[in-house]
Amino acid sequence: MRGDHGRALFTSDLSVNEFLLVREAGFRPVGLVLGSSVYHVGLQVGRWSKNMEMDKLTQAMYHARELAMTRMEAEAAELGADGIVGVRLEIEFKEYGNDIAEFIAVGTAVVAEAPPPTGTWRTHHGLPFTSDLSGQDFWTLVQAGYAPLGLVMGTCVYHIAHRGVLASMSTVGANVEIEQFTEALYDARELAMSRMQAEAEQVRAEGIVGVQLLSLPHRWGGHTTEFFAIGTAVRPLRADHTIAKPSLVLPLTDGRW
Amino acid sequence: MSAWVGGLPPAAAARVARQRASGATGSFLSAPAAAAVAAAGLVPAGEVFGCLVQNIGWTGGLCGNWSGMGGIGPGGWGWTSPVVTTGDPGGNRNGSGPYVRAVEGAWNGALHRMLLEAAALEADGVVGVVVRRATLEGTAVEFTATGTAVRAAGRTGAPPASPWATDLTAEDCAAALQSGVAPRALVLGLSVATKHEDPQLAQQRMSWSGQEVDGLTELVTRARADARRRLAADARRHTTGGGQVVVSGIGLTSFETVCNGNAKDLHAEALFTGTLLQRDPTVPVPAGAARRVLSVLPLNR
Repeated sequence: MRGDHGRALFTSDLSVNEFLLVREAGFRPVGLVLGSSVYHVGLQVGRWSKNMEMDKLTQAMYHARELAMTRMEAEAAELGADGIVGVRLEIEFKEYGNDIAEFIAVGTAVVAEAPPPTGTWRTHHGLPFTSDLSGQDFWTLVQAGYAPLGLVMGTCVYHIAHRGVLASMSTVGANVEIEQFTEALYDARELAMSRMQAEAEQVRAEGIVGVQLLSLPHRWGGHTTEFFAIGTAVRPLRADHTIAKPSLVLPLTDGRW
Repeated sequence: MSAWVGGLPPAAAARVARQRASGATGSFLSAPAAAAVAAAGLVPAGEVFGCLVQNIGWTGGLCGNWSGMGGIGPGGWGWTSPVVTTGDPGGNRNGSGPYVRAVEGAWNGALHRMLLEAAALEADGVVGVVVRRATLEGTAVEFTATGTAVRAAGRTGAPPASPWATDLTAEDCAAALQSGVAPRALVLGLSVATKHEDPQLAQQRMSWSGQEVDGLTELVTRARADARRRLAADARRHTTGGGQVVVSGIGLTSFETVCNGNAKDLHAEALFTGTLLQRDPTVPVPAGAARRVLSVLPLNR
């Protein structure tokens, strides 16, 4: 490790345990990498009584995240990294204006000590892989014979229709399903998830692990919500996958691992 | 003002002296945390504290436009203003330079006083350090540093002249030590970047369509880049060899100020904190302690 013998100094935002496990998995951290984009998300007005996707907002939310991710990857590529682990994608509204948000991607760039049996850790496009898995999850994944390919995401900003007076009247005092809302929530989530799925297919992944499906209201008011799906696409490193045999452990700490 | 003892105010010196005499040691550690440091061959030596109240009277000055352009005014519509950071070579073109130096000085001052207490208790280091910043009133800002001093169990030689400090928890610290990695110092990187609002930036901030605000992206990116450089520079103060900095805090605050009547300066203040770790073959690993951390795969979530 360069950091041990040479004079190189590097930073990472991995916890100590994560750092040790990433080393154990055969990687060494080379630096904290980040990418940022300050974005004016703009405005789009939905029809009051219609379920609809706010496509302009969807595009803005996706584009801003993509810019942040691409810049983070570029920083990692400059360090000669094979991948980026522990990626966090965050959105922060700033004091610079009402609809201005900063999209930021932060992670730790790592270099592998040896190439995998399949040739390279980098993606098909020759870029470092990205993964939002913790150091612990990353270690477990590599142990079991899989490699992360990249973060895949899908988003959909959706306007859920307000209900008209007549429609509301008809259900007053009744315990019934409001099909219009159910359908709208289904549509929005399905759009976000299928877009994530499409990204995974595009990078020829075997599957996606650690998927999070989030509903983010941001600042658009009650009826407009962003549905955001994100996960790590993985590919197999070898045909067989050995998974550690479970054994009983009695932790003495109170709930914390 | 009464006489300070060994760089500490009388109250702190008296408390440390009493702690030393009685041998009763306090700590901020939980029971598992105390067990963890014991496993790494350390015993608590007492809780330590350092405090410094700084008057931050000068928080900014010249308009970013003037400071950045060397006095040359803005050009036409195609003109974009430069971003200046407090760490730029050539120094004080960013008006927030004195502010950054004041915060750095006070932050390190509080930490230093905490370490003086630790040294008086013959400690090797301080774990779980928390540095807090609080505004008392007006421009008076208090910086406090607290942590638990630890000492090598059964040490026979002289205590180190200057103890190390880390913001890692006692558990993380133990895991690091058992893997032969030792904490060295708590480090800080702070920077303020400033950009004068130019026509492009004003247009992009007001626009109704979705688009990236290039000037602000550059502003926050430069602030963070400079803060990270400062963090690495602070770490190099403590080491001539390599090492790794585990970053524990990343913060960015944004604000704007008015300059020259109706023009605006936009600012981003980036703050990074972390612990410098170094591989150290001389770290005393207690007999029987596992050199490698045991890997366990919990089945719960």
